[in-house]
Amino acid sequence: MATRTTPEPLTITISEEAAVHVKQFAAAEGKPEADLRVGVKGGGCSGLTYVLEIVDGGPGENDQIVEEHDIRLYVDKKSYIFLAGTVLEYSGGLNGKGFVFNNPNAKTTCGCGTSFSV
Amino acid sequence: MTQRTGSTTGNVAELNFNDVLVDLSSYLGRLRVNGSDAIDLLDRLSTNRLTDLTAPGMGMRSVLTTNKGRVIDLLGIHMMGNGILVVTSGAALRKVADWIEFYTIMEDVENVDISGNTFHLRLIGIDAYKRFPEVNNITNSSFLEIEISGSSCTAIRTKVGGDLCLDIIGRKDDEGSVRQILLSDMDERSLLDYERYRISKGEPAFGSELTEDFNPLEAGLIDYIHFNKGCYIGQEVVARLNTYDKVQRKLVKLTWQGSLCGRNLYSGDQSAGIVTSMANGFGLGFVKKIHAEPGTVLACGEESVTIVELSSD
Repeated sequence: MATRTTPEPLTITISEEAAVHVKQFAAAEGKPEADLRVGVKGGGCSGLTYVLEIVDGGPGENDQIVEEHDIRLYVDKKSYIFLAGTVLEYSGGLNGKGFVFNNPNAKTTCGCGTSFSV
Repeated sequence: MTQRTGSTTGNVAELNFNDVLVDLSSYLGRLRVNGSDAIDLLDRLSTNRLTDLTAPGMGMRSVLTTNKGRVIDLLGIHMMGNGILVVTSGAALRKVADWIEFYTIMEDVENVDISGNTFHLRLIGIDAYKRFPEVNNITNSSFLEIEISGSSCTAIRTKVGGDLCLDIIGRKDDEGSVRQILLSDMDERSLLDYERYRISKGEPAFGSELTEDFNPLEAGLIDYIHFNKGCYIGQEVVARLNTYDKVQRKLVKLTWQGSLCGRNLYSGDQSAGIVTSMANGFGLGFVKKIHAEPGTVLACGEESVTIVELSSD
């Protein structure tokens, strides 16, 4: 007999390693209690560019809030459409160091990985 | 095999307008783009370095491109005191507005179609230009606010081919009085005449040369591309084409004797290019670079078509 499962809503998640680095960056900016804004803006080689920003003013009126690994992520609703399902990770490999968006909505990404198209 | 027997001068079939006015109100579209992020967003969407536009009165042309580096439209971007005036091709207006809106996500940007509330007249030729000596000292695409018959108008310095032109944009309500003053000692030409004129000058137009079939380097728009500005949509493709000299086709002016039945150009039995704009006996087209040498003769059906060099300025 077939069983029906309710799919989990797509959300944005942050890996533990990425969360550690966000806290380090926030502390370096003198804002140890700050949160992280994740978003998308128009432009970049492929059409849409990721935005990462340490913020200390709390969420905006239309923000979705995600809490994980002791980090609060703020995502505005329009960006959320392009980011749903994304895992924010941190890569420290030889090919480059930094935050990496693993975004299931991205059909193509540019060479440097900062922009994508859907 | 390609033949080389035609004329190679750049002046073949070039129409010379001087001291004439053309009403481009419907031929071109006008958007007002407002908001604190407007110039930054337009810079990330198009080929020129728009962040250099730091003060009212400044302007430049920039190409809106797809993420495959193909042309959507050639824009005129002008910094007004209270927003940005974006001049589009008339038929591309909706597409440009939708494109900007689609990519407005986190930004403080709003675009408003002001085409219906404004007129846009183009004064062509050095004599027309001399009527407004105050615009002599500004650069192409820059503008001044001037008064004509008591009406405040925006006067944008522009060029078609090598000809100096002045675009006068004002409120629709003032159009009658402004036209009356200008036409008191100046001739008006129709859009049909203008179409022949712009083809003769090698000026690409939306729907013909400015389409997603071509990239801005093929369309001769390199002057409106800034190669060090950073990312914009299509930048990787455009930069690669330029760096590795991968541009395959070139916009050229063409002449012929009779009338063309078709648009495909051949060198022997090999496809050599396509005619994109036609007037009586001359036109514009894209040909493979190996056939783009002025004087090259290609075939279009039964007719011989000769490549003519575009004006250098």
